[in-house]
Amino acid sequence: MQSLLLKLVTKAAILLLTCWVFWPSWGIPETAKKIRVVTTTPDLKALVEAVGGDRVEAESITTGDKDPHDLEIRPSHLVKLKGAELFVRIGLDHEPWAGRLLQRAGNARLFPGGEGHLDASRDVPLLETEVPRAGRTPGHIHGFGNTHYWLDPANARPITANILKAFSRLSPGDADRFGQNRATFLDRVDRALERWLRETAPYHGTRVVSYHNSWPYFAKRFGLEVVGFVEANPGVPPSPAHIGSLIERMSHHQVKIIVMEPYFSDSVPRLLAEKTGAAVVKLSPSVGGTEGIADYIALFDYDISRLVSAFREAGIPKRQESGR
Amino acid sequence: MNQALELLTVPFFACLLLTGIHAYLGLHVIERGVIFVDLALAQIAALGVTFAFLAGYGLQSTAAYFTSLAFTFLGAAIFSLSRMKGGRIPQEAIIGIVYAVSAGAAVLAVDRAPHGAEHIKYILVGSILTVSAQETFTLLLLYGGIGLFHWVFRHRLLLISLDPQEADRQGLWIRFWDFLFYISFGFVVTSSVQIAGVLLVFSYLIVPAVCGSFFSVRVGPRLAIGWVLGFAASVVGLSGSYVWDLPTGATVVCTFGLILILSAIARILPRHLSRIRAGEGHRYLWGTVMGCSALLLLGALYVMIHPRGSHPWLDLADRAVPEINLAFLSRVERETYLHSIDSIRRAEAELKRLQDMHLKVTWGEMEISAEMKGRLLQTLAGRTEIAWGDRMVLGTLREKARVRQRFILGLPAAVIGAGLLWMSFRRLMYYRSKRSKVPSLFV
Repeated sequence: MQSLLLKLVTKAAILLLTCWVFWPSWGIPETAKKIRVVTTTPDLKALVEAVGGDRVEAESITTGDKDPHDLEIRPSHLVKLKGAELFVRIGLDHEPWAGRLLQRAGNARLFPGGEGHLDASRDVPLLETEVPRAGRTPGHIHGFGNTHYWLDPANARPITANILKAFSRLSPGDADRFGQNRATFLDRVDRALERWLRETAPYHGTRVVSYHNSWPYFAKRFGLEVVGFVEANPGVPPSPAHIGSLIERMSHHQVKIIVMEPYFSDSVPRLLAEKTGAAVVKLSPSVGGTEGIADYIALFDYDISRLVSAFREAGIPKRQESGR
Repeated sequence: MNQALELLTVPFFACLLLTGIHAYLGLHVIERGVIFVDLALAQIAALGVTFAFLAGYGLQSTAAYFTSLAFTFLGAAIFSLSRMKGGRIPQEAIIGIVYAVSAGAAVLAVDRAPHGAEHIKYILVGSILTVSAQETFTLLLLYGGIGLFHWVFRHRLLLISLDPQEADRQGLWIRFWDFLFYISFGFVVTSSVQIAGVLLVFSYLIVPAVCGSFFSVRVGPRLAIGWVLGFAASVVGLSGSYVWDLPTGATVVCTFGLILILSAIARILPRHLSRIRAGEGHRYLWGTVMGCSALLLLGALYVMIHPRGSHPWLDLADRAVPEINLAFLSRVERETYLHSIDSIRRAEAELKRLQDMHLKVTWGEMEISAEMKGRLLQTLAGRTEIAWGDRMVLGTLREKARVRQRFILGLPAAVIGAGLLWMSFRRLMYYRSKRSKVPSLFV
């Protein structure tokens, strides 16, 4: 008798659990008015919010303070995706986990090609597209161009243009308001960009070494020359010969700055710094990467001020003429 | 390239220190049968650091250090209490549980902390290449102190590890000495893991001790062999990493693997050589024939079933005697085939030259115009792409040859393989029936 009861309870529990996991519209109140957006990175979330204002509710899957390449999928991610109307991603194989996540969440409109799937890289002028595509790509070197394009503030324009298009389609009544939001935001970005360029102009052409090849857009915009990488094959610890030749070249060419993300191990950069007298500068690659970076403009405010003060401390001579 | 050699001096001394203490502790660990205790203790220490970190202390702070020490003591207590006399639960099970739970707890603890996962990773993935002279000196003091402790109490500690029943009979307080042992062990492991990483420390602990016990049952010789082999692995691993331009820690670990295989061979070789000399050589011969013919049969079957799959043995044969494939191609195909091979070889040399040039240009050691720079990049990409194209052509032609070889080559190979397999099987059965004793490989 008791075992029968137990069986029934177990069956009911399993049934309930199954419903909870597979219920397609779990978590969407019928009266929701805001557009629900899930982005893969906090930078995209910041841009989405800049366009959508109070008409959207955006959430990011990764946080800016962890390596976005390895994400552990949690139940809450699936719940968020089930209720979302728009999924915004960096694209270009930046999020190797995205396909699996979308499949698992099973919200068909968010699938690639669906109306709720936005690849933010669509109209962005990409760098390093000349990386050959025919072969296998070792490590996680990106095969379709470098994916860290949000680190050039000028790319906010094409990215937000596509976000605006998607929002206007989802909520045509608010199209004007979205357009206005975007214009105001881009205006702010433009003015800030002018300031950032003024601050970095004296150091135009400064050579730096970066941890991974994740800063080419940033470097191009702000006139840095990335001459080498600490980890030539991302994820593989560097060999003594690689570090040795890096030390030799850095000392010979007076490279004084090593740029890295806060979430990588700084043991090798510190070794390089110690041997060459260079400084290790931890720049945030994303919104939320360091405490206090709350939006897209704050991200560059933080990075530029850190970089410029590092240049100043390293005693890098300013150039008199404005740019080359 | 002197820079690279200079970079390896401090790591080399650090490796010597690791060899010294771990080869000895490994002996205890092997005897006690607690192989993974170092991983568990390191993980517990990492959990301690994580808690200190969550409480707001820095990773390198004294507070973090003492918290991790306290956690290590806790681990030592668990391991000394969980030793059971003739219990049904092996201690390795407790160790595994402690490892898994503390790893899981650490993940949960740092889940919401900024850069959480990375912090745990740092604690467990040291990098031997970046160890500083000062750290090495601290290691020397610490290991020296613990070595002294083990030297002073060597009789008791070794007796408990080697023969716990006898120790019990002599009235030693085993749990107390176990506790001291695990504490000293925890000290060593947590500090070496921070410098060298879990993998490397595990290799230094286990491989020399295992190799030592291949050759002797006495403590002295085992220790001597362990030290010599650990030293050899350090020298070979570090120089290999320098010469072949490989990540240092991983190279040393793989060297240890190699040394273990070589020692195992050295251990069993004399016995088997003497058997061969005693006139049992044909048994080995037929055993080898059996293995090879089985491989041949499987390979041939695979060619017949799926000619387009990858067939490493045919590729090898092809590289040695290109005529095998050429015989199955038409004249035009043959020309393309040879041309592609040649073209790939040339492209590789060219690519290397261009990459060197690219490196020099990025560092400003070679001045070229911006337009030339763009062209250099495009040429690099283009050449790589062309080389890949040639490889694809080669692959397609190989596949064509394989499809034609399918039965012409596959069928005879299968017949020969099956025939040899049957013959060697019969032979070996015959020898077995003559000798009732079953010889083991190691005894």
